[in-house]
Amino acid sequence: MSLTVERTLAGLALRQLVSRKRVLALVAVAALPVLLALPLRGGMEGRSPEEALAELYVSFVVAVILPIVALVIGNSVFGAEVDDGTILYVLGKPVPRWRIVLVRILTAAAAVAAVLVPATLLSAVAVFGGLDPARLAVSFAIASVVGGLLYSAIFVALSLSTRRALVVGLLYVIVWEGLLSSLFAGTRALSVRQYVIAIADALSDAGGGAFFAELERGTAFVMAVVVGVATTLFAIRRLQRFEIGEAL
Amino acid sequence: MSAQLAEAAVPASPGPAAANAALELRGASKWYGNVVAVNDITFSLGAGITGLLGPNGAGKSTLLHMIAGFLEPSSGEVRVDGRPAWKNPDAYRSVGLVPEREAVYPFLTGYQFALMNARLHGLPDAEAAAEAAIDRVDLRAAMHRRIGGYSKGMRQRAKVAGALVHDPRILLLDEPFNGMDPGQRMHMMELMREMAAQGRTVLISSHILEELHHLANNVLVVVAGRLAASGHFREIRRLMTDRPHTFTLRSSDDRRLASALLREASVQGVELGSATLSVRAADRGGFALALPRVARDEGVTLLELRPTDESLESVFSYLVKR
Repeated sequence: MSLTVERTLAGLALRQLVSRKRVLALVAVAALPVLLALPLRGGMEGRSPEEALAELYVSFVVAVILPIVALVIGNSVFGAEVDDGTILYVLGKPVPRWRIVLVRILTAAAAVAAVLVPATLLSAVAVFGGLDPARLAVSFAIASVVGGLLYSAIFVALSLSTRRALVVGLLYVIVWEGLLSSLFAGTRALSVRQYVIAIADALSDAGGGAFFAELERGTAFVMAVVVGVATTLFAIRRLQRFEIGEAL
Repeated sequence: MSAQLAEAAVPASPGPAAANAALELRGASKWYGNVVAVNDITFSLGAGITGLLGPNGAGKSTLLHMIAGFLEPSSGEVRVDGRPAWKNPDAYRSVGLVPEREAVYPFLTGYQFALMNARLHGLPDAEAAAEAAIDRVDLRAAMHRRIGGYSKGMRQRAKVAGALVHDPRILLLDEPFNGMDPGQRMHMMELMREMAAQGRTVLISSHILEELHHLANNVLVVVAGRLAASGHFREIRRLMTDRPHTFTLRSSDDRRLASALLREASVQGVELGSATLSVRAADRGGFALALPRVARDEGVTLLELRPTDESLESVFSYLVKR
């Protein structure tokens, strides 16, 4: 099966994504958790190195780095083309819109993973000199890839729905996931951050609870699938009805 | 007007598409809130070149985007090859669009842009198709340079290459000659004629009538979103020239000149301003001959003569009011 169309769509998205400034910024962001992990070698404030690393992942990587990186990348895979009208060259082709959306979401997710996975694994290396025995790093890296995919679907759908996708995305991350999820347990069922933590918890060999998941595992899995499918379908519908006129 | 239009706009010459209209609009309208961009337009087009003429903001681009399936008609129908244009990506197999908007991926070379288009069309030999399209628009010398560094004319040609790469049966071009030098225009016009001769449907928008002079036999005139006139180029040309013209004059004795001009058959009326004289002529040619004669006979020196309503907008407004 030839994937020429998919490769072309992904290549075009990546070319727009990869500017020198953006790559440097993303590398700097990816380096942050590694730098913060260095002082955790001997543990911190009475906590073991494993606990300190888990704390770093939960309070910084999944709370800040993952959503911000996904927001920037997810918003870019269509955003620039929508802004300057070049999206016309992609949409004016005999390619079903669902294929275009799926490729772009997967491209964004791959780019997010390319930043998050090294950041996660290297943080563990900074603490343990290698990967940790409880597989915290690997578990969290896998969960981050899933989280990156979900965030990408959400932010791609947002970029096709509003010109203020960045602002709306930031509000979701800061207000919904940061503020409301800590105050109201019910809102956690619609929080990608909570899914990532629950998945990482389930995958690690630490006997569960290493990442202090606040959402029940089964709920997290089911809701992750529901949110991923729903936002992808929504993005497809938006692109199918996407109008390109002079007013753009 | 609609029935006459459909008749006039479908070329009489037999061609592969003449029997079945390649493009068909029936009462197509597009509005954004209270703003009507395209208003109840009906026409059908077969093979050949048709000019879409109208002032800036008349709705030409909206119309082309509707035909290209990028805008959903608010009411009415837009059909390409007998099928709805909206939400029908398969139609792009036979449609190529060159948008007016200049933006093209600046990081791609001209060849990469054509290749990208060919690949997204799923062409079996995309590389060969891209090279052929680059040659057709005469861009080979710059094909490996980035589009970001292209001149406006080169960018236009790159866009045309992208639209031609899959050899479409229907080509829609929105102000394609913008930024092209005379040589490039001639080349592009030759290419359009070649495509029409092969039985393809070519629809070209322009706000300059003369641009379509040597290219399109059939012209659709759009003003304020409505189809104001349609038919053969010569007929449209005649409509635009055989109409009252207004001139502003300054002379050594405006009052004396005004009263003398009123006796001329070619003059419909005059109006004296504080320092100028405004003359409405029914027949521009007759007025052009009469004015110097009258001025000489009356011993009046002409200091300035200029047409006051020659903007394309006023011509179109006149056509709409007819």
